[in-house]
Amino acid sequence: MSEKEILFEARGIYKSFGPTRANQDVNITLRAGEIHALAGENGSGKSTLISILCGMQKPDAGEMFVKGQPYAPKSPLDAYANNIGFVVQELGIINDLPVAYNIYLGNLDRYKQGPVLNTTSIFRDAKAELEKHGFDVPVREMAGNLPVEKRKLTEITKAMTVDPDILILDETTQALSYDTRQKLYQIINEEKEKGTAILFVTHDVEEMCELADVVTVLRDGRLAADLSGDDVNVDNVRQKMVGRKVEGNYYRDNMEASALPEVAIEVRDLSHGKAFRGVTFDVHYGEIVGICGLSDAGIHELGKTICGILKASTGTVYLPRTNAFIKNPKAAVNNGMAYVPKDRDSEALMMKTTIHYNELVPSLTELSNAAGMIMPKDASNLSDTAAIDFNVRCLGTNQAIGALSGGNKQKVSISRWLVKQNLDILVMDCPTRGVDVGVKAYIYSLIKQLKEKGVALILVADEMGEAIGMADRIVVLKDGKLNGILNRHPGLDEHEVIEVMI
Amino acid sequence: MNAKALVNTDTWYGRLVNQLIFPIIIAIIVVIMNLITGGRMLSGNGLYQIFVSSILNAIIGMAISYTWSTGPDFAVAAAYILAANVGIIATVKLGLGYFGLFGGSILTCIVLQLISTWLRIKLKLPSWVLGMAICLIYEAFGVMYSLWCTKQTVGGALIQLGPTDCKGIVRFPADFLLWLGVIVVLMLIQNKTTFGLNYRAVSSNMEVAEHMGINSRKTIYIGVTIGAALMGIAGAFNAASANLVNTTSNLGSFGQIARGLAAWLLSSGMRRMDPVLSIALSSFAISALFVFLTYLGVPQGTWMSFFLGMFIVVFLCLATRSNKKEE
Repeated sequence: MSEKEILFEARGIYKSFGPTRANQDVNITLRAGEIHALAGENGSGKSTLISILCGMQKPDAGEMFVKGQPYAPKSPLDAYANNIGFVVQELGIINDLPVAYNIYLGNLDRYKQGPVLNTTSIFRDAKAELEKHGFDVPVREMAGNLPVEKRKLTEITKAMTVDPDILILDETTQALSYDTRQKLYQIINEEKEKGTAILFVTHDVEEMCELADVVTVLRDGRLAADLSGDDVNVDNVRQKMVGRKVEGNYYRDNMEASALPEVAIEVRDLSHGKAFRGVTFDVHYGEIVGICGLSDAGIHELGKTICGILKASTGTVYLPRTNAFIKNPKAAVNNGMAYVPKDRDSEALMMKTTIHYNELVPSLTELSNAAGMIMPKDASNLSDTAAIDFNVRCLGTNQAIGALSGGNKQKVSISRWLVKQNLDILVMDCPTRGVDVGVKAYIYSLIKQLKEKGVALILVADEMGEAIGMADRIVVLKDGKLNGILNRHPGLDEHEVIEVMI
Repeated sequence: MNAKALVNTDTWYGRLVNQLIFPIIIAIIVVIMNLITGGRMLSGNGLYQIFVSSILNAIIGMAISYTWSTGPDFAVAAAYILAANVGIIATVKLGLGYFGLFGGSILTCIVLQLISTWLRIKLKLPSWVLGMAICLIYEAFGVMYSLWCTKQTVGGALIQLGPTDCKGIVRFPADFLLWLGVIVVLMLIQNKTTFGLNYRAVSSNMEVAEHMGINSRKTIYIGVTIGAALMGIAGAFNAASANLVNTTSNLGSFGQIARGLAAWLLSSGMRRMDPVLSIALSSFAISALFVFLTYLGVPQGTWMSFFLGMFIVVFLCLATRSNKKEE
């Protein structure tokens, strides 16, 4: 074990929510100049532990120390006061305030001149802080008017303003595109050089093993392993996370492209405003087409426009089998096409209702009888079948969807389309975003099965590894334009994709 | 220079343009109304009439922006009427003049709103549900109090201010200074104080605000106190202007703050403008509309409400076009 200075220590942390034991006797030690990853499946207690460290929740038992001094934060302000900077999992941003105020909110007293704030200094400092990290975010713009990635960059900058001795990043990279992720890695490495202790959570095990010096693995709220040195490798971390051996590669086994001859979708000269322009490609049945690009390349907008969610400014999306042009989501669904959004909480699921209703909604037409009525038994059968077949871990389909972990929510988001009889085309936007390694493997196995069945799949991917591992062809966008289409072949790697991307 | 660069908040002229867009639009509308009414609206008298009738609704709108920012609380309407009546009694019965009218009204409104807010936080009930219930209770208190006070007078006369009581505040320039003072103080609070930014954060997303270390409960109580104080000022101003504020029941009090509420709603379409200024401007626009309709001979009551409703819908549709997701 390293002899570096211990900056933070937590001993015997317990935390329960009703009958759920989120943390049980968890110990963790963070050292200066060390990148420490916290690993575990969804619901393993990682975010609970981090919320305790950041002062958002109090532990039921246990003690914490910062630089040897007892640390019992009553609020995140205490964390800031101890030079702990953090970025939480969900967006921690106030949409109705400008970016600059968001960066210093909770810590504004330093700008006080008598009873009022020197707002000019706030804007100036925020601009300088963002520029220091190479982030291009307008400081006077309302945060809510910005895309998710820029809001996340605002949060990262906020964490850096406390000049952290300890920097905590909870699933920060999943909201970032490839190029912005590189900037974050640079910040992490610079902070490491400066002697900051970095604690980060990511579901991307490859990314974790690439960056981390030490990995603490939680399973069912308990400490499952503390790994360092050569023990920090993908197979080992996965095995400790799920408690059994996980086979090395959950992507496709071979690097040969394959597809049925029949074309499923013809995308012609498709544009949506300034997001992307003049994109043309086909997707065949039994084929997986990945869509990749840097931030602002327009990949997510392309996925939405293909499904008719965003209106095309020019061009067409045509389905030869049904002789249909897709101009709105209804036309897409009626012609056997489905869309799984990236942001499952705000775009995919109805968060205020149950699993049952979420599973049911896409199949209402099929469930209706001649009189237009839906029999409760048929509805229950469908939602129960979906939950069982797709291994949704729940207390029953009448459970509130909001109570599920991210991975199980994603299973609902996908499975409700797969129980439909006429699914021919599935468009998925970052389907493994924020899910653990077990669910990730499960989703990839589903994608492989769908390909085998002859379903045409479009996979919009922020993670290049996902596109390379799964797609038969990769459509690469740059600045909203089609920059190239790469075919799957044994030598295909990230460098080849980056070359086309940049 | 393209339109996007013109409203870019990173430049001083962009920020200025953002503040001027809506005043210019409203000014153009008023000029058109002036042409239609044969120049009556933009005469000195016409403009003053519009301005005076906008003061009360502007203050009510600003009060609502605080008391409703964490959820609709209908109790504030009944509190406004009850508080104004307490202010009138303090002036008439105790001879306390302005101090009685404004002090009584502000203090009563603050106490009533804090009770309502405390119950809401303590019972964890939806604000609109608890607000309606408390509104009914406060209205009943208002009616009972008013009846009791009436019984104390010779011949059962209504309690109201005398014809010369506290009239100075509703005359120029005192009314203008009151309006200006409220705007300046609120702009300072909202834009230049830690509390102001904390309150905006709590109103926008309480959970995130708490994660940023803001004491949401304390912030809400301070915000409600400011909102209630403004409502108390509005009640006292209304009483000084009309001599009395009628008590109502069955949620009828809501009607008395409806135009202020409309001003607040209208201001939500002016997102690029300062929130305080946008409420003042909205209130001015609503008053201009009513004066315009009066000149056109539109009957008071239903048709006025119809045109106000239409104006809000059309304005919000146009003003929020750029904020809506492209479909």
